[in-house]
Amino acid sequence: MRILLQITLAGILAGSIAACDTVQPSKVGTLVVESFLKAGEPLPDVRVGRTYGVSKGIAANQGIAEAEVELILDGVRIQYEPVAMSPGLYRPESRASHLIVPPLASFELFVRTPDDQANASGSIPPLILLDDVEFFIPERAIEAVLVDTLDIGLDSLDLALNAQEGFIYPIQVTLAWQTVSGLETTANDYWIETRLEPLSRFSSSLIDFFLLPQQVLPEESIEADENGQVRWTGVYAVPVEAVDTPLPEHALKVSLLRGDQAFAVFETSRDSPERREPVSNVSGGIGFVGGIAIDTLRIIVK
Amino acid sequence: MHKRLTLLLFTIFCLAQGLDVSAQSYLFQFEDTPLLDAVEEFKSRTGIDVVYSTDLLGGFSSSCTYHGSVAVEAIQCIVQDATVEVRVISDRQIVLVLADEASVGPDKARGSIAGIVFDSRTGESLYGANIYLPDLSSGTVTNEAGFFSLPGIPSGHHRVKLSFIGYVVKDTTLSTGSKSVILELNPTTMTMDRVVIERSTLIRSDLALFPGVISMPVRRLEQLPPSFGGKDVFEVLGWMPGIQRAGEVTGGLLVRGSGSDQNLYLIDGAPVYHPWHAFSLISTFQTETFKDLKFYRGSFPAEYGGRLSAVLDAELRDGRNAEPKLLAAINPLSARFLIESTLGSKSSFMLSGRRSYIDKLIGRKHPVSDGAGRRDTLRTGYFFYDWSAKISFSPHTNSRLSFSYYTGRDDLDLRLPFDLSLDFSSWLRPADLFFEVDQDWGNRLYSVRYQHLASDRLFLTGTAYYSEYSANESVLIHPTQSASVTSDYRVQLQDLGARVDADYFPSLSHQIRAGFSVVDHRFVSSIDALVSYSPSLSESLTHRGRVQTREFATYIQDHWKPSEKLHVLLGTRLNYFGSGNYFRVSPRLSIQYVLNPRWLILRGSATTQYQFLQRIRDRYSFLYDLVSSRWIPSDSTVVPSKSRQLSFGGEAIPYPWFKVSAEGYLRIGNHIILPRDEFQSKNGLLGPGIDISTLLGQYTRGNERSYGIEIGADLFLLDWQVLLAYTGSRSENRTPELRNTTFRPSRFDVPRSFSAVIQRRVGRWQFSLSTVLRSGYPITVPIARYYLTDPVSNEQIQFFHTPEINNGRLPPYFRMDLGVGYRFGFMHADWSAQIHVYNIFNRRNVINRTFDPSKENFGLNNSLGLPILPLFELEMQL
Repeated sequence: MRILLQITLAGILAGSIAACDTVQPSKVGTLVVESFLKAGEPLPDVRVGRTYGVSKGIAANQGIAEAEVELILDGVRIQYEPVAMSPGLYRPESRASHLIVPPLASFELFVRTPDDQANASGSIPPLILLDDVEFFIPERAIEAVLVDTLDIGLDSLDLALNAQEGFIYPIQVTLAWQTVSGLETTANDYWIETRLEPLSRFSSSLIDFFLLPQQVLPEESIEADENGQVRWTGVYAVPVEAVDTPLPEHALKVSLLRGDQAFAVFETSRDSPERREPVSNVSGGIGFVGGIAIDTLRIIVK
Repeated sequence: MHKRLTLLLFTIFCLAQGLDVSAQSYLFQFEDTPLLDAVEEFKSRTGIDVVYSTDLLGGFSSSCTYHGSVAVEAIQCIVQDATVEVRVISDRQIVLVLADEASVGPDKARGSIAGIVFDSRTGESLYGANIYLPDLSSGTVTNEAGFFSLPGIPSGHHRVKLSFIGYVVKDTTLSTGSKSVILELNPTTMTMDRVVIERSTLIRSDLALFPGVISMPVRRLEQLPPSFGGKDVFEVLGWMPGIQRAGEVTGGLLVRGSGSDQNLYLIDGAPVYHPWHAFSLISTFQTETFKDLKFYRGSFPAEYGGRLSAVLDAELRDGRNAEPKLLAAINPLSARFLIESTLGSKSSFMLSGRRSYIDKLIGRKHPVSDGAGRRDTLRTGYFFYDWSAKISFSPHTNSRLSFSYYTGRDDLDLRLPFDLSLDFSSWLRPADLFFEVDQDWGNRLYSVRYQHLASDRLFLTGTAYYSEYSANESVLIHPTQSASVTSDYRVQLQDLGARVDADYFPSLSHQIRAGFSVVDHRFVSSIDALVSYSPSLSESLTHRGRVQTREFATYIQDHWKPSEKLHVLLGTRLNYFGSGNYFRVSPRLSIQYVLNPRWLILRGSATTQYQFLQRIRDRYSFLYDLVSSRWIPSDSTVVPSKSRQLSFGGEAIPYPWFKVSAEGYLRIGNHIILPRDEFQSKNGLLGPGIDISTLLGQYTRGNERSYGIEIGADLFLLDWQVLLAYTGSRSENRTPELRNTTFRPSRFDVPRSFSAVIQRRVGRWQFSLSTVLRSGYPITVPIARYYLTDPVSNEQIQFFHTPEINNGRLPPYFRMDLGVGYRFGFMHADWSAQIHVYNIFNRRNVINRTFDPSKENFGLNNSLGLPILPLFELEMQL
């Protein structure tokens, strides 16, 4: 009996020691494909590259020069050619260089390399045009919290709540544009991304968190007026030294983008690179290939 | 003649034992005194334990005058009018049996013996005591109420061996046919002045008939090193194989790699949905408030259901102490007390309370003002509390009625400026920019339980309860003078339930338990939130949700003992869940075979479990589900989770002071709720909303599997007590609906874990060393980097490529704690002072790791665990 027990215990011990960790190292060198087909604009370049080791420098070259790239736009096949001196960059063949990306067109992009292949598909949204931009600027600066992180961790007792206070001008901006009409769309068919970007970034991410400098939302969630015009209002901040400091003259880039749900998911998932990578719509690779409509304005605010 | 012989034998026995039988002189004078009272007086005055059946002595009276020094002569005088025989078992025990009865014969008619076993010191019923008939080589174990029944045995007298780990074995003789007997066991103690030290193994192996069961004597748990919040059941469970805390000192209880919401916590039959305080730093289960604790890992009997992974069934003390007891203690986190006492001969009560006191030290409200005359009141309130109470009433020995109440709550109330720092003076002023957090969460439950010995073969338990979990989260944030955020979020779960359980003993080889239960679940949630970006621009979120459903369950199980070596627990449970109309059958089978009682006891089980309530939380918004989480019922879209588990193990007790056990398991889970996007974490204000379907959109159904081996050793020798636990396991999941067909390590997968507790008593001192060494938790490590271009600015943004989640691991976790305790008597009370040094090597374990792609290489940033922390506890018992 004692021997039986010993054998049993030895078996258990061997089994427990053999409880190995199955975490495996993953391969490197995934295909990266990127292109934005902008409605009403010439056919875009396609960037084809490969991921590279994390230990390599940020500026390491990742382009693939020997890929075959083909775009099918509304049934028309368009071959892409590599751009000399720019490994990984591909442009439409010369006979297609005059083509404009038509709104509502469907597309498919194929990329083949000696090792792998990838493809992506989608459709081009209707054109979007900023009809109007209105500003509301307060007369005086107001107090605001200026800090980039608020981090409380109970396990580690890391208490980082040492914010500084300062002054900002919260500037309210209203954008207006024509909504999609005459199409049978659903709430999730088109999404809008709005951006209010001071060309020299003053504001902290904490301030941006409580203001509304950019947003991604379903277009149908914004109510249109009787003329089919929709309006979105956001707020961005311009920090100043003191409460009586005048608003400094600054340039603001206002952007309005329209895309499909894949574009919305991509945009909302790429805003925290330290937390995650963007959600890709490329099969066989990563990156993003999508149709968008875009309108931007550069405005001097004073 | 017979009596004289007995007296002679007793005298010889006493002399052989070196007892000074002539040192004491007894004087007993009874005149028509009820015999039961007379015997009790004999017991109290001589200190000799007299074992008897009340039926034997009931109805008789005693008229006796004895003045002498021989105790056995005294008892013979006292019982002379009754037809009983005095048998001397030992120097401290005498048994009274029916006189002139023949021994048990095979031709006799059949009868039964039933009764209840109590702790002689505390008066509390003992669950798991062994009642063994040596002549029949058969026996049984007391149930949760201390009740036992030995049916279908030959009529007459039977030698009975009564045993229970931690108690002195008692040999007695009991007769069939009597109604019910009251038996008492004396704890094994080693007394040193006013200090009582008790010895017992941690786990009552006599109850652990089946794999995964941990049944812990509370007296033993109380001796283990305290944790942050004092003596904590969950902290002790963490020393057991296969059980761990999710965080370093916080987080839920993870059993065999499962989610913490897969455990069922019961207090007197009522579920507790959030058994944590202080952001999961300590549990609501205070060791001292419980009379009995059972913990089932993975496999549990058919009487339990509704969870996949584990069950903790705790019973509050009922205060049936022979002496009133007062306990008071204080530690850095809280102060607590416990009072228990009898109320007359038939009733008893227990009342305990605990409260943190840091808010009393730093103050809850701080009126502040500045030179301009502005006034404000800042708030720094946080506290938690528990109240437990139980009243028991036993109208007679065959029945008991108890009312239990528990409430526990956390309350966080802050109003602070954003620019606070450790220099209080810098923020004790009126603030324009501030945040208010007003949150409270907790449980409240009421339970009524009636236990009744309907016959010598039938024991009934009826339980009715109300259990409520609620959480309120309110915030007001002013980050700028023109922007603000207000939110009021409330979530509540109410259970109104009733159940009846019946234990029926048709024969010695069968013990049948059956029952049914009905529960009414109500889920309520609401939010009113307003985010003002500027005075004229705001967004709001308002929602009310209410769901009600009922759950019915019935079960039957048979504890079949075909032989002394083989035990089989076969049962099945049938559940009906109203929301979604789900019928589910959960078969359970457990087997124990005693190959050799010393060297190898084999155990195996195969069980199926279902879970109808899922706990999930929003993964987008900072305005809700911050401290709380929401339980949602299964419905047509949320299929009940299912788990099947196989366990097999063995146990050996090669020496009375050493026990080793090992157990392997395989668990397969289906329809487990898993995050749809593992990388998504709270990063916004309003989020998608609190509607259940919206919340479910953040999750998907998945599969999980776990397997492993757990080895435990328990050594107690002289003044040493050692607990060792090793777990080698894997816990993995996958989400086929998202085309993830490969199993990946789950969030808390720990391939190897070792823990040890070593204690030694030296006189009044107690020293303890406890350590844990385990694999680090899985993390997602980037394997490559790449960049993408912004469609508007053409700016290149760096990203890390993380195609597989949990492909890496944090460094191994190691910690060692040291404890020193000293017991002493002072002011007629027993005192215990303990110093507990957490993390004596000051090893800063890495508890989380992030990576920043905007920096060269990994941009690695480690979050570190707690440094060395000295803690204290002072306890007084009266």
